[in-house]
Amino acid sequence: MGMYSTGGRDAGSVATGDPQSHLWNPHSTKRLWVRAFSLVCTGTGVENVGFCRTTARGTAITTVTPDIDNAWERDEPPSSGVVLDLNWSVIPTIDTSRFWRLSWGTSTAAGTSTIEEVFNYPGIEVSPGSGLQLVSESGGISASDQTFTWFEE
Amino acid sequence: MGLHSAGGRTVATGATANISACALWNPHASSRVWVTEISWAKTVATVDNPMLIRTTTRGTQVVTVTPDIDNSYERDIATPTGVLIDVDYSAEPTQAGPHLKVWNCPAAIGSGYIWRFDPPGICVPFGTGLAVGTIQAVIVQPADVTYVWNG
Repeated sequence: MGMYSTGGRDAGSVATGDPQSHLWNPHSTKRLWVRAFSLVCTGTGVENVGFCRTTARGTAITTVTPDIDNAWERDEPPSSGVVLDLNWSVIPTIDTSRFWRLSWGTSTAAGTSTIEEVFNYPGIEVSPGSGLQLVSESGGISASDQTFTWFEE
Repeated sequence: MGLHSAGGRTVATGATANISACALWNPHASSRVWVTEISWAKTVATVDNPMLIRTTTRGTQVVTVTPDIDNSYERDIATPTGVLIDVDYSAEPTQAGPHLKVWNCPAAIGSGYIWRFDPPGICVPFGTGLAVGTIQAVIVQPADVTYVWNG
């Protein structure tokens, strides 16, 4: 129980509908609440993204598995077994609703296209066996550093 | 117990993945501290990739900032834990991942970030640290770093 955060670098995507980082809650009963999300692109160009739920994990190639070092109190690993997927051979099943959509113009320098989203308390609930992720809404997006912060019981 | 802040200027790291540019180190034998904010502002116009990660050994530091009573927001007591801010190393701290936060900064002097953490903040147990470093095999450029902590 408590706050956790973890992140990784997504390789970027090439097509509309491609997922970016994906926080997946594999637990059969436990819920978690995403409090904050950040993204910083490493490339330049026009980016169009949405933030949405997922109902199947897909098949991940690259995964960050948070442990006790990701607990803000460093007292226990996340009991939900939550994972952060960054690359897929089979993409997650993406819900059609969006929490938000965002596009930004041609950034002139890597590291300047930034999202820092802090959700109102208690955050976005992620039910057992579901996920939350960023998805490309139009074309690809560049590689980016992404961080999720969440609370779990 | 109370809020304290201190900062210093880091030096360029090596171009090696998973090394540290600086760290808040808690040397106390039994007391914990909670980091509530970290700010970072680059002094060189070159892209880099700062990240946040725990450390389990201090390493060998070349430059250290030692906070005293003047770093206390209440100016009532020096940080009881003896927290130190190391900003240059001859031997790297031992990192304990996965990372707590990942980022990248544009090629501009003054680019950086302010990371604020919901209360009570990120706990740094005794005998451990909280470092800013790089996850990529790219130099972390010199920067002004400030930690704010409670404890």
